[in-house]
Amino acid sequence: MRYLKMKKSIFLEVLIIFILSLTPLLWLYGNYVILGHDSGFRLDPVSHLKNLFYSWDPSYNFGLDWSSLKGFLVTQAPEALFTVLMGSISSGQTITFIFWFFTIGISMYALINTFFPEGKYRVFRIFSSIFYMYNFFLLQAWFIAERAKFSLFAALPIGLLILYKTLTKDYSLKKGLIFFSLTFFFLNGGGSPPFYGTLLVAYSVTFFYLTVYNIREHGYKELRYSLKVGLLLIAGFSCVNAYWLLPQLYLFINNYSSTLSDLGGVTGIISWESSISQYASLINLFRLQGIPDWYNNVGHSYANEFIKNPILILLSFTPFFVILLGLYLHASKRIIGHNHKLFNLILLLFMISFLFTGGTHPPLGFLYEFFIRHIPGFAIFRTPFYKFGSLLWFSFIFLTGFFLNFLLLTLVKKKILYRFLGVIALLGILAYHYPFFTKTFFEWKTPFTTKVQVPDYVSRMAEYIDTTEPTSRILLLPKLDPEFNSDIYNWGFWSLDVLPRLFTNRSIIANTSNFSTVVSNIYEAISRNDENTFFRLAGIAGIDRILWRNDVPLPRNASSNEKNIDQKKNLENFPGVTKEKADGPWILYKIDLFSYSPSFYAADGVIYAKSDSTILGDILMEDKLIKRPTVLFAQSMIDKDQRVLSILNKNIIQSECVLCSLDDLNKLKGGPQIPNVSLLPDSPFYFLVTWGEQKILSLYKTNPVFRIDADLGLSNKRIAEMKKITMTKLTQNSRTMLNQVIKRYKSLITDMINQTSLLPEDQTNAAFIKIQSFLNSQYGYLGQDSALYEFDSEGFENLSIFMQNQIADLQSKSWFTNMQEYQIKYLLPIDVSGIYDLNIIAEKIQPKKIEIDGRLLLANNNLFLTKGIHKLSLIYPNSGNFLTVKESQELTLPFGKKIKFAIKNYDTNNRYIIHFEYKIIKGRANASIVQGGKKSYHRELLHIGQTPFWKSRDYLFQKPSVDSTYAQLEFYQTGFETEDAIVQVKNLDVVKYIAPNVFLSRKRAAVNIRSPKLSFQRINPTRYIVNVTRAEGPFILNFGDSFHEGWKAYIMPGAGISSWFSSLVLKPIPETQHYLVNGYANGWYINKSGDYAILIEYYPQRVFYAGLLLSGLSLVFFISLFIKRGKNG
Amino acid sequence: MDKFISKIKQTFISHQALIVFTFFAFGLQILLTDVPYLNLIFTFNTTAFLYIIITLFFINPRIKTLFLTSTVLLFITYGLVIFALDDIAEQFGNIIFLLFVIGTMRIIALDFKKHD
Repeated sequence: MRYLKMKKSIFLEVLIIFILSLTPLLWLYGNYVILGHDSGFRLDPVSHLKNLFYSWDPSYNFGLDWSSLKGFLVTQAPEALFTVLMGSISSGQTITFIFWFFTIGISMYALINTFFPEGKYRVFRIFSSIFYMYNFFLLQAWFIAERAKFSLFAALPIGLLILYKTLTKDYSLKKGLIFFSLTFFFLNGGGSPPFYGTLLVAYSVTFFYLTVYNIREHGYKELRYSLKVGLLLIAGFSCVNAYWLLPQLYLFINNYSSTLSDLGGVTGIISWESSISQYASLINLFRLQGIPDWYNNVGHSYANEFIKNPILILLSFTPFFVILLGLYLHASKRIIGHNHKLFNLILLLFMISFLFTGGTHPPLGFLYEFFIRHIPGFAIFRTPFYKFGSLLWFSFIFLTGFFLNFLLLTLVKKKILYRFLGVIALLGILAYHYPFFTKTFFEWKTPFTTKVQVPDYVSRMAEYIDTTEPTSRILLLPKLDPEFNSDIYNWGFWSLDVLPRLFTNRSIIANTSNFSTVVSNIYEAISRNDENTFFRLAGIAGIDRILWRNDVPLPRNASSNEKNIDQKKNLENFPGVTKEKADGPWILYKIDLFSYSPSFYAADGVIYAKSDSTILGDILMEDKLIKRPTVLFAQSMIDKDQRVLSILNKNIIQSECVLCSLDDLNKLKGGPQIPNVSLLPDSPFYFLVTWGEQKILSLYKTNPVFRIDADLGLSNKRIAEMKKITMTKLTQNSRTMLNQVIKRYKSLITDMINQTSLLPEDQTNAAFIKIQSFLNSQYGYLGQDSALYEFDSEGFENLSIFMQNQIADLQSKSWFTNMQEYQIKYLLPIDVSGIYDLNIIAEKIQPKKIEIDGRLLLANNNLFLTKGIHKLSLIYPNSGNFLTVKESQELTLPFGKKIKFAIKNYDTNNRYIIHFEYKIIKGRANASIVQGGKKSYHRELLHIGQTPFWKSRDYLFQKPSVDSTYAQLEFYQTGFETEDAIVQVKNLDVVKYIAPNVFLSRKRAAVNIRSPKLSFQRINPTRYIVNVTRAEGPFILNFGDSFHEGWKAYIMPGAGISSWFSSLVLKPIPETQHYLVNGYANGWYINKSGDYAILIEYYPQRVFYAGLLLSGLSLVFFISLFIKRGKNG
Repeated sequence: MDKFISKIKQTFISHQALIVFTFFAFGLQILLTDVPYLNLIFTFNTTAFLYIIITLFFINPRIKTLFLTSTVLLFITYGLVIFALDDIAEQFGNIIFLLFVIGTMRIIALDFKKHD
């Protein structure tokens, strides 16, 4: 009878949890779906699940490894299943959400009910389970329905229950093993290791805590048992999850260091981590707040209410108040009975969770920082709040529920009142978390949201694209806003991944993160209406279609030639580009390419380029005779087999334009900052400074590059010392000290200039410029303070003359561009003497004169250049200065008025560089470039520094997105002053900006590559068979997917063999013969004649198969054990 | 160590005297915040933290007192949060946590001994 009553009670409690799990029914009403941002939802979840089976995602530009997502095969299975069952994505998602809601609640319920099944704990059971479902940690995850997070949030209590019961021998080892393994097979956290942070901490603490308890109770023999439990559970977990664990392990071993450096190294991670932990103070965590998205976010749909509203603030303190009150009573009455062991464990977890959830936030942050710096692999937890927060919420909710129940039992004697107050508490939790019901939490930044109604034309286009060839490559236009690299639509969609990738597995090319330069070259070609370059590059990249979307907003800072309408017009005017399908604002164009390169081709020409890949388009346009080229960039040839150079057709050498970029220009005029110093030569500890400096200098005695850098750094210190000395009282001692410092400064400058003679020829000019830049900074720094001269005028006069001489001497030796005189200067590094062609990538203006090493060049072709560094000078017709103010002018800027300087003969086809020197005399001032026409204008702020010392500003500007007929420089008052601001300006000029790409090409002695004929068969996205016919010598096999070391090529013993097992016994072509070609693709140097087949395989897929086999076998094993146990009762 | 503590306790026979003694120690530490180089270690926060630890170590209050103090401080913190005095509220939060951890650890330790 009692058993039946208990069953009825459990049924009722589970029913309450289930009814509340139906909340998502309110969310997607009206055929809405969750899509975009970082949600990972697809419009065809079944097809996505099939694609996930393969470790290579062909849809992401030229392909991308996604073996780290294998865990989603299980985590995203519910949405695929429910979508199929319900026949609609919206309904499928709703059922999926209900499923996760319920799983989370029932998991907590199972834990509490196991330990506290008695009727007097009813409020505890229901309250904690509901609170575990309704809390802000989960709500910020519901924004994108993070199934991976839900999965481990649900697994935490269940796993803890199994581990606890197994360690305390309430469960047999076998039972624990089966339950634990099966739980974590289904609730695997998407196979994302960082999400396991909470479980790692929670289960490790549980393990050690119970082991110690067991040893105290039963002696050291328990240690063996605990270890057995620990190892078996880990083994069970690893076996059932091997299908995602093994690929993860493979990735970790191969990529950890590079991933770490991509994230900015440990320092970068700590800096990112600090921004995440910025609000995770202990007081916020006591209130279950500190969620990074909540703060400094005026657009947040609900956070501001909880930060500002006094009632909600008071309510946020309540749970911790309940815990403190409960602990106070516990301290006096010892309220915990038989479950004291569990209770103490949860208390321990509660305390520890603050350390991890708070990340690097003080006062405990130093520990977390220590972990990141010194525990290998810990850097994966770079967002501690999200990765460890679940432990805080879990333990917090458990304790709140427990003590609330206890307080009710203590304060209320009547059962009915106990239940009534329990219901009130439950309703309170639901009411406090009201945003769950308002549905606004899906909104991100108006009008963007993750809850969208997908227009019909998108679905229809998706269906059509799926009928195109599987190897089709589709370029997205207009390109994504480069400022955000995200795909946005007028109907509210926003995502870092592009929308078309969410409905097809065709290759979608766009300027998303890590896009190749070939993509940017193609976009540029369309923007400047250069059909030849467009077709050449699209052909090489295998792009055969373009998807035009007219429902995307124009990028904020788009220049005028990036205007959507212009791009579309250009595109439609290209011969061979035809409309294939138009539906609403979406149009699919087909490109008929005369030089289309399939996924695999044998190169008919090999080009070796000592350049960066940004000029790929220019290199390819320089020689159109090579139809299917392979371009090998020098940087990717390091540690590779150099035999490939024996089949080169051409060498390309990019010339460096010296001081052409704005950054370089600004640096030359004084970039480096002067540091602060704490010790002066009269300090008793100064010998340590001298000793340290001498050590550095002697360390770099034989390395002039480092020695110069050391000299420069130390010279900065000397300058700082000089300034600090002059701030002290003038005495004989300080004067002597100053002279010593000046002497040491001069010797450092002399040393660094001497060192330049030891540098290799190609580094000398850069060193001259660098030293000048430092000297200019130092000179300017000393010039800011007239007190120097009052302190010791003679010493500083001499120093000033010394510095001026050095700067002038360096200027005469250096080779750099003079924009004002229209003389653009380059250095040509020649490794091998020979005949070269000079290629100047056409600007709108042609140089009137070209000089190499001071001699006039009459023709650009067939130049004989000897080995060494040559100086190239492009002299353009002096178009004059479009704005000149040489004399120093004092500009008074009254409130509300601007002083304008019009740019003469403004031509929107040109880019201009503006230069001026300025200092602020009074108030705050700023300057901007304004370009505009009759209807609108475009303003670019120059952000001048508010400095009372002369400073220079260089700025590049070009035609903006608005139609402009005039351009002017404006100075105006800024800040909130009503009085006039005064700024002094001199040497103001505006000239045309010209800096064309220049490269040399050298044809090699006739190398005739006889390319074999190739045909290929695509077995799946990770496996291809390429049949080679009539190979007569070495050649390069190009494969147009993104370069990855995981791609392996195996030469098969005969033609057409496609046996799956054959690759298991074969050795791949060595990695040294596997090259990054064309800046993004794979190329293998093949040196075998005749007819044969090559198997191209993505190796991580093999690792996945091995894991899948292990997982499959273990799963069958555990399920059979489970069924057997069930049969045995 | 125990001898040392009991000696101090004998010297300062009452809690009030002990509190005065710990304040005295606190004052000395505060001086360290102004000493060059040492002030890199003895920031105000570190000093306050050390003060609380030392005080609790010598006074050895009852567990109940720790939780009661935490509760009172929690109410004060609520007021600070309402008035947007976030920095001070954060310092109060740190002290509450310290008291909470000490109280909880003592509960666990007592429980551990009791069920030995």
